[in-house]
Amino acid sequence: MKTARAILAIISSLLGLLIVLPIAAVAVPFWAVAFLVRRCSNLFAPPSKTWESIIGFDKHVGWKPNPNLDVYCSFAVGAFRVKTDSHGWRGQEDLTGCQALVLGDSFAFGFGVDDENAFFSLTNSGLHVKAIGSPGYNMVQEVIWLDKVSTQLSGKLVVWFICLGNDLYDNLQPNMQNYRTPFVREINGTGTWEIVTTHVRPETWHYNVERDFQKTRDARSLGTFSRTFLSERVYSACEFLIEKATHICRQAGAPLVIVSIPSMSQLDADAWNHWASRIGDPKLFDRDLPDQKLQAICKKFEVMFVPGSKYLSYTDYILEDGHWNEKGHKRIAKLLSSLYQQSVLNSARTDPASHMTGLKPDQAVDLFH
Amino acid sequence: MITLPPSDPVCLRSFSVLIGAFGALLIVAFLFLSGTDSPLSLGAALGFVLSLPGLLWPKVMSWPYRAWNKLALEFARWSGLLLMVISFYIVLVAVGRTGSYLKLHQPDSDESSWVPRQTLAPKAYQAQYPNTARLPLETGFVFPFVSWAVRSGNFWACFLFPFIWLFSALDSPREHDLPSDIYTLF
Repeated sequence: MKTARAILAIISSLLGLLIVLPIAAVAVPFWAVAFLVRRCSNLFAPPSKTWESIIGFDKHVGWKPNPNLDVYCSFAVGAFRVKTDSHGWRGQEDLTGCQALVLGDSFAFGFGVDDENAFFSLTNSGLHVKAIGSPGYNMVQEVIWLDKVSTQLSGKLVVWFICLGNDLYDNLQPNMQNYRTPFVREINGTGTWEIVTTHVRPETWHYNVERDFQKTRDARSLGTFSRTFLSERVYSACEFLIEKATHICRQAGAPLVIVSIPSMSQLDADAWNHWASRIGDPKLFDRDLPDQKLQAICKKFEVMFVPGSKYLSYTDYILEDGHWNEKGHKRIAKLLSSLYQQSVLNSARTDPASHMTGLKPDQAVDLFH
Repeated sequence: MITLPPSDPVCLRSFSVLIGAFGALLIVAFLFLSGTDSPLSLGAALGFVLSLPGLLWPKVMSWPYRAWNKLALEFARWSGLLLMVISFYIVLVAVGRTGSYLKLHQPDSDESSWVPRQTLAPKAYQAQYPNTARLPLETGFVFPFVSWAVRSGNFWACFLFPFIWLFSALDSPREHDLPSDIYTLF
């Protein structure tokens, strides 16, 4: 039977190949163009560095971007140009001269786009924005930075980007991959939290991508998007950090706005179902849960909350990477301008002589189209 | 893969150079056939002019780049479907006519259908399914496929190889496909 099969297979596959020949002939030009574009790209690509090589150890927060950089940083779909100031932050503005401070992780850093295409360079109406953020930051590190610059915050609008994909869960972790990071710890089951930084050292944390990546991803998803014991801890820690940031901003006389940054899969029903089914039963996951929880926390502390999912769409992201593309940055720049204008309008209405008094917790943001 | 990589300035420049080179080839061929003097230098110059805007302002090439990619995606979708139909109805159906190795019969009342399992050495506990041909990851899929076909007595499957190779060449990411594991730092 084996010989008969082989003979039949030879004859039928030759016949099949004859029929397939026109398809192959049409495919050749497409294949050749794709192949040559990839090959030529190597000639045009500037020498680039990985994100790990543009950050350095910082004894307070674990790491921060190196100062005075002008390099290309490589990522999933090529490279983007990064320029940093003397403190290691991107953008032309300095902290003292800016009107709005943006705090966050790689989204605030502008990962994936050149400086001139990042939100901090795109705001219209003369709004000067300074972004303090680095790839891999959690909310704890961001609160530490907020505290460190609090003396320069008076009268400035503080916008805090909270990345829903990982920030909330990462607050509880002592490491971010190989890097030691400040985190929050519950004090003996009292429901109150404290920031831990004692383990932050330049030595690497034992992290194995093959062993730990999927485990962390699954726990992160359960802790953020499902109603579990873990998510109760995640949102309790988040509440502690938001309260702390609110306190710092009130002391400094700076209105605080929290903007949630949805992950790409949250913005498309099919992508969400596909993503959730990879982790477990899709019914266990609620993509709106983080925004609902954050909304409730912000309401409690009378902080304005803007769900990013209302202003961003799936096409605002780089598909292969998950950060904003140029279109996404434009939308965020527009959102920041609107937030600032409304903040100024509000303070003029309440007390024209005062500094900005900020935005109301439930105020809707008009994007000034 | 027949689709272009995501558009960034570097890829747009490469695409522009390709268009320039292709344009130069066409012009040289045309000039050569029409008997013009020094068709090579003229063609090269015109090709350079053709690719210059894309080299200086890569965004100019965004639209043609996207259009080409869309065309490639559509072609990949339809030809993949056609390829599947051809390989199934022509090759697999023909091979299937030779019958099956599976001996399906109702077991007798005292006959067990259990297949006894061989005991593994303790050191193999981490990978409990015996893999007699352990292959390095970088060998690709050709060698493992052929080796499986020969070992399992399915030599005929080797003749499916041209179809599988064409499938892999036509495999392209769909617009809404999320990467299976984004290892990005947020």
